[in-house]
Amino acid sequence: MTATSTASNSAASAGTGSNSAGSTGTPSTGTPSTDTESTRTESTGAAAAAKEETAPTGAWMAHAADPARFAIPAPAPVLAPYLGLVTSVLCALGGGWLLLAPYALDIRRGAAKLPRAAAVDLETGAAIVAVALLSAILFAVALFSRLRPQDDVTEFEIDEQSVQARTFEPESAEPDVDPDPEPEPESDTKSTEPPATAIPNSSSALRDLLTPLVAALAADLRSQEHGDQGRRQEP
Amino acid sequence: MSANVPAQRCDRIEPGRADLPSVPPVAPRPKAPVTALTGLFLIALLGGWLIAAPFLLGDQARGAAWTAATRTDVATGAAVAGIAILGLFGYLAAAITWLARYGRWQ
Repeated sequence: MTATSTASNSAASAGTGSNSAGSTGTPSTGTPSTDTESTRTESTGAAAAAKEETAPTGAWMAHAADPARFAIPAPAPVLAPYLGLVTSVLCALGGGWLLLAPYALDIRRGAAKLPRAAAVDLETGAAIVAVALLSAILFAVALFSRLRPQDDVTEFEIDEQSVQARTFEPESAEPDVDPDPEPEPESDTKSTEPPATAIPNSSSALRDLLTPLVAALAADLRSQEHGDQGRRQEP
Repeated sequence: MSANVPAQRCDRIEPGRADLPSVPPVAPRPKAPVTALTGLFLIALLGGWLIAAPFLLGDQARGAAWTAATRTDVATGAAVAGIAILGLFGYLAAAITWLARYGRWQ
């Protein structure tokens, strides 16, 4: 449902893009009439290619079709076990004070037998120390398990189709305005890059997210360069 | 003024950010350390017992001035119980805040 609506939106924006191609392709200040005519013919010659360019890229369509695959993982809740760890350590310190208090305050007062209040202090203090240390260890385990990076995140698993779309997406994003395309190092480096293996980690997902942006930027720069070259060759 | 406005450099119309489907952040909910939380609750109970022990066991005479042992027991018990209860509520508040931000309620 979302994919169809976004496709219709992109189709609508495709028409506006082809209209704006002729109007905005020329510089606004100090342009001779021959320059505008040449740019018009160039834009009408590349109308089919422009229509193809205005269509959403393969990576974007993959994103629209399966957005959960590109979801950003939320940070793990570490504040709660951290608070529990601090609290347990403080309680253990309180229990330790209870163990020391009968001797520090001299509750015994030289009696041969330990008074019952001191015995209660010692027993309760030992119990508090034991329970608090156990709780602190368990909270620490929970905290470290949440801080550890999760390698088995299933949201970033990449199948073969997405790898193919990611590999061929930069070529489809490049505009073919010039009939004789120059050899460009960016496309070569991307084409010579071996198809990445499906490693389910965050770097591949980040690459998935950044690839359309880089391709759009490259196409933008290339079209700007073509416009500058056409302007230089015209006079 | 019009010279300051940059011209459109590319014919390509990319789908806008609003066109992208909204994806809530994925939040695998971790297991709560139930044993540790039970331990904190036990510590709170022990603190309460420490407060009440001098009076329940008869070590503190009714109406008399508090002895050093009673003062120690009550003060330490109140501190331990208060810290444990604060820790439990802090854990609860942090967990609820995280769930409200990243959890899936449906």
